[in-house]
Amino acid sequence: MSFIVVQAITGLASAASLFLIAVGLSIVFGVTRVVNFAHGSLYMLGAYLAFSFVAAFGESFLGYLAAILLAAIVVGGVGAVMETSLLRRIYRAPELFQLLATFGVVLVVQDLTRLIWGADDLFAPRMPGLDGAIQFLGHAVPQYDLFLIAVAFVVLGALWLLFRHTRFGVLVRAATEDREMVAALGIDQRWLFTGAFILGAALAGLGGALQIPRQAASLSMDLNIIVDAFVVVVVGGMGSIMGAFVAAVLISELLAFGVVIFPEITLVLIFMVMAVTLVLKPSGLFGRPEFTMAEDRRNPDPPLRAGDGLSRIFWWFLLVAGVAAPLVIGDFAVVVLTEIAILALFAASLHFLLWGGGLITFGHAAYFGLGAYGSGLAVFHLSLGMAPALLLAPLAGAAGALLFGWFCVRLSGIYMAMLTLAFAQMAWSAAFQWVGFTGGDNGILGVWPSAWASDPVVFYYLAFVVCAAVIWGLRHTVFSPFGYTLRATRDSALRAAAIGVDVTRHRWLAFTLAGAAAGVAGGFFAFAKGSVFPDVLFVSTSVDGLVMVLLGGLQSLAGPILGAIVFTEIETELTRLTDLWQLFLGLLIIVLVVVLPHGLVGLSALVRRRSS
Amino acid sequence: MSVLAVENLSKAFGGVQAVGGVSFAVASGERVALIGPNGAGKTTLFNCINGQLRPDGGRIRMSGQDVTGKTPHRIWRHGVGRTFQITATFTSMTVAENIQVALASADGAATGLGRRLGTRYRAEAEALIDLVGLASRTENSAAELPYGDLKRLELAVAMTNDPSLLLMDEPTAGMAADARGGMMDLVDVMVAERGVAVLFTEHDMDVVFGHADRVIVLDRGQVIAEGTPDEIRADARVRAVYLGTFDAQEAAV
Ligand SMILES: Nc1ncnc2c1ncn2[C@@H]1O[C@H](COP(=O)(O)OP(=O)(O)OP(=O)(O)O)[C@@H](O)[C@H]1O
Ligand SMILES: [Mg+2]
Repeated sequence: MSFIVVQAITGLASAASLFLIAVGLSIVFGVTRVVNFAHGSLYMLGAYLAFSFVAAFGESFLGYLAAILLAAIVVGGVGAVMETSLLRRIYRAPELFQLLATFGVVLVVQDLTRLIWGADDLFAPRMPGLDGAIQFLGHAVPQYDLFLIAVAFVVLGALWLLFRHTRFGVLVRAATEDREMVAALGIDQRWLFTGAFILGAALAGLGGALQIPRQAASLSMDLNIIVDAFVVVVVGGMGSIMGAFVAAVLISELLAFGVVIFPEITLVLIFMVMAVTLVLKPSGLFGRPEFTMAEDRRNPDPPLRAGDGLSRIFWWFLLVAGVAAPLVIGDFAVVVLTEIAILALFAASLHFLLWGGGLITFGHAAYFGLGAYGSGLAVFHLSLGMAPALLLAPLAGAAGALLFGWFCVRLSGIYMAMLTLAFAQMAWSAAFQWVGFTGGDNGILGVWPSAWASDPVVFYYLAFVVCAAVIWGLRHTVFSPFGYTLRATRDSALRAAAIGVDVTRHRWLAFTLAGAAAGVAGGFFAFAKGSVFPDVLFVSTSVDGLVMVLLGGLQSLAGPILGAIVFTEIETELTRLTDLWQLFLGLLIIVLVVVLPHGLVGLSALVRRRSS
Repeated sequence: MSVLAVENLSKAFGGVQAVGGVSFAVASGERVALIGPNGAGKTTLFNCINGQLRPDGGRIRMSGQDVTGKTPHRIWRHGVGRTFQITATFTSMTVAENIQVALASADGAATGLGRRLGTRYRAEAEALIDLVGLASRTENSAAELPYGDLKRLELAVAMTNDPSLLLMDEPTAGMAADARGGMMDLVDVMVAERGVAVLFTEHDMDVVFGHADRVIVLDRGQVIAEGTPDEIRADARVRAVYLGTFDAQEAAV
């Protein structure tokens, strides 16, 4: 019994910090309708800043407290810069672009933090005066945990007062509930948005700063916390403060007890809660459903013309170049080329969903990774040869997509993006935690091609032929009745349903098809690398795919291929020259979203229009 | 047997009773106008009939079969074509492709992975395009059509499954006054040539009195009058509800 109480207190202490970050995310979303991926970066910054301030003047209780508060204030200032320089430019952009741009900030902040504080974890001293434990029913409860819980309640109370009794708070609430109304009242939205963002950023900074006595400041804390925060915000209801509070407690307690009962699948459990909530009550426990009856496609795509002159030349050029290249380039280049062929298929399968179906997925790595693990595990546990292991890859990808897709296609927009991300993270955490089966962090080694394909050139041709064939198949599908119908559901789900299309089922099939194609790519990826690590399932893999698609241009079938080529080349060259690849990638993403939303293909159209 | 029979249908949004116990029927080949002031519940009624909304109570029968609570794609299979108050078309496709997609669906080929759609159902699509007078627009993107043409395209799309009932939500709204007659003449052609019944909502009384066999008047979710255009014209209650707009229309005639 006493053990349960103590475990519950530990859970509440975690809930406290989770609440601080989630509530800021929720406030920012409520007002600006942007899901800020970089919210976790602000949290991380808070932790690092607090570490430095504590080192400077944190010897006493009050000094330590001042260090924490100062960190929160500085992070609020960083938030002000971020809002005015970047977010303001993307409020009207599609959700996918908003998520990506803020993910770009994640990458930039991560590299900058590494530059300033170094790559090693930083351990701060405990907080003076709160470094002991009190005895409770024979168990030791850290004083600091109780302090954290108290802070959470103080913040909850302060927010409540702010939102009830100040003009700013009332406006924030009004904006959350009805944006048009606030606009109609003629309130200066800019000021309101910046204010809400600063508040959210400062809360994230506070959450991070408060963590340092419990946990080392590290470069992975940003993505670790943001995914949990997404879950909390979605479960609680986007924009709801009370929802964030209740969901933070729910999730944290689930984790605290889950660790005891099913240590291997705690993370999976959390994402299941999110998936079930979203399917049963899409607006979350405390959220209000949004009526978006009108369909909005501000920039309709031009009709598809199969094989007009220029694109036909491009495809033939790719084919010829792909066949001829190994004859003229060196061994290392062949390895890079193999990777390009594989990633081109990955990007094409993502593009098929994004463009072909308007399905915003932020977790396409799941199906790529399942393909890779499908092949890798088949080799490792079943001692299968390369060919049968490769055949398993699309089945693994399709099976994952069939399962996850069933939930995801029932949602739309930002909710779909979050759920796809959650499922991918779930797969990642399973690969990570289930050491006995997947090897965990150590991965699966020795996934080498069969003897006949062990020569890099032979393996390249194998990968090239299969990937090119699947890409061709996807392209053909776009022109087939299936593909047209899919695009019809994207253009107007209302109209599609009114002409007899089972929209949900059709999207589900498309999801599965794309999952199978991504699985093929994943299978080849495993054999190309000779190993499989949990990374293949991580959000960064999904983002790489999205960047390729956007880089090439979302509105063109050739876009993902072009994007995969350019992306892989840049990455290969840059990682040789500098260790600031993430910084560069982050800036590239931001530039793409803000300046070049139509990608390289769009750039050529832009140049053509200018010159004519 | 009537093509459509609605019995005691109701639907509320929160506290608003948008449709409150409505009953009526539409016979085969009949043209029925559903009129009423803004917010009367016309669109909500349509959305219930074609399955976009699940009614709170009541029954909907199509040619005798109970279709209450079915999803739109199923109801379409019962022979219902629909046009929307705010046009819904596939903006990334040409006029022909919009219709070809619908024809593929009608043919049960929506999930087909075989031959390209561009080469299929072409002749049927062109026949429908001719019928609605969009022949010169066949290869234009739906996104670049003027509003009146979009309404025609929607009509053609709604006809792809040879429906027995057309639901048209304000078929002439947003059109120039002189184009409205043309649009409704087209609907009359569909009724005459293809034997389809039409249930339409309309604010333009000229259109209503010129193209409906029967008129149903809805106000605050209730049917307040039903009859031939002449009967409705003479109905005192309808005049009261339509005070202003109706009189102004009358005066203009
Ligand atoms: N999705 C919805 N959520 C909440 N209320 C709704 C919704 N759709 C309609 N309503 C309400 O139901 C009532 C009926 O609306 P409906 O659109 O059916 O009227 P209408 O007769 O079609 O009007 P109009 O002539 O303006 O098109 C209105 O009060 C409207 O505000
Ligand atoms: Mg209406």
